[in-house]
Amino acid sequence: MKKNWVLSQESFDALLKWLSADRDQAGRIYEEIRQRLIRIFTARACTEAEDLADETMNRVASKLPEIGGTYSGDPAVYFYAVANNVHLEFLRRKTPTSIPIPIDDTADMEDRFRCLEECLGVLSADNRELVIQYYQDERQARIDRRKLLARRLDIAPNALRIRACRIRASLLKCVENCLGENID
Amino acid sequence: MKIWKRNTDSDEVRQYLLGNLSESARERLERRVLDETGVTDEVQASEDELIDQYLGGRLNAKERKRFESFFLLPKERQQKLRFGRTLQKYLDSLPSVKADQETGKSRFRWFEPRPVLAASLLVICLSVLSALWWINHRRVTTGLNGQTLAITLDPGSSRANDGRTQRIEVPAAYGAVEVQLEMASNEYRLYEVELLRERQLLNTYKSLQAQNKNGRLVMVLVIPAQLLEPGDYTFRLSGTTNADQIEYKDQYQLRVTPAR
Repeated sequence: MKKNWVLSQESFDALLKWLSADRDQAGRIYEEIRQRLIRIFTARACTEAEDLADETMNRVASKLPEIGGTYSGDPAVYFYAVANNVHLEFLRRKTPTSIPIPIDDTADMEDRFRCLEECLGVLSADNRELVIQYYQDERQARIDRRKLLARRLDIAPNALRIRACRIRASLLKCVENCLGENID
Repeated sequence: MKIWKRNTDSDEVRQYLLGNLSESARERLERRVLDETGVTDEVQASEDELIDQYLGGRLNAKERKRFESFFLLPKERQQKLRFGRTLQKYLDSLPSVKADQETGKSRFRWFEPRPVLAASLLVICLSVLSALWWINHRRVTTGLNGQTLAITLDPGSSRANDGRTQRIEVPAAYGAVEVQLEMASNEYRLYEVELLRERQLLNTYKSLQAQNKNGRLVMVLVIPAQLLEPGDYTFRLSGTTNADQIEYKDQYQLRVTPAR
């Protein structure tokens, strides 16, 4: 990508058009790919996952005039190849970091606790029950409880696992909002 | 569509999250992250599990080192770790219900090969129950049955700060308990209160209105005393908007302890 290249409205429109002729559908695909790139950069322990995903999206947009007419195949694969380059550049420029493990000070924990209680209060009774039952207890008791819960809800254990994980994600978001540390 | 093989693939995702996969294996998995929704869900769930295992001290030394030096680098995961800690602390504060108490099948399994022990325990239980009935009967006939016990609860969480949990002994000697929930403001026309014991919904009181008692704004509930067995109770107060939407307002905690 040329230095100082900035994503213009025209480039963005061209990128959406490349993803789908239907603009709404293209917008959904764009956001889906971006979210998954963030996931990938996070999984590679990148500290600036969102920035790297945006850099990838911009870089693909900047290359469209060259590849738009000739590239055939799933655009996601092309995004992935560009993401690998962006990641390599990130590794080259980053300095080794050692991070301290976050330590809870008591005041912060009390605020988090209060926010968690509030957020649990906002969940539906079923979801609240599920998340408490799913994550409570240790080892064998936890395994037994999860089996019972899956049987009671008449769903497969992995479906229960994913459902609990999604409720947990929504709780995390709610708690961070409550604390004023908005994350998306 | 590729079928997700839970155990083998979960192990691979776990190694991926700890940064232990070879480049080719990582690339294979990441292409699936881009293509398949199920894989993204698996990655998220495995992240949560790693965090819980770390907090529970269930990672081996090598995994722990990778977790701290690699997995925890992104800020998003540090937030997840803090959240995991808070969730764990919250769950630890709840009374645990043993899983085998929930199925009749496993409940009595332990006694099956021990008929004499089971019979002895049954006799002991019946004796204790008879004694309890006699004590309770005496208290009810000589006590305050028919009268109302009034208590006032302050809003806010209390599990984080045990000193704020209002406690009463099981009110068996009373006919009813009048619970007054202190309110800071009265911005809704109508309210409803959910009463929960150990997070299980017991009752919902609807179409309530705030009252002024001695200059204090309160929500008054009258609860049959026999409903309040020993345990932790939550009163979840919500307001009804003009558009009939229910909006959560506050919650109140009460611990009922066994009679001494």
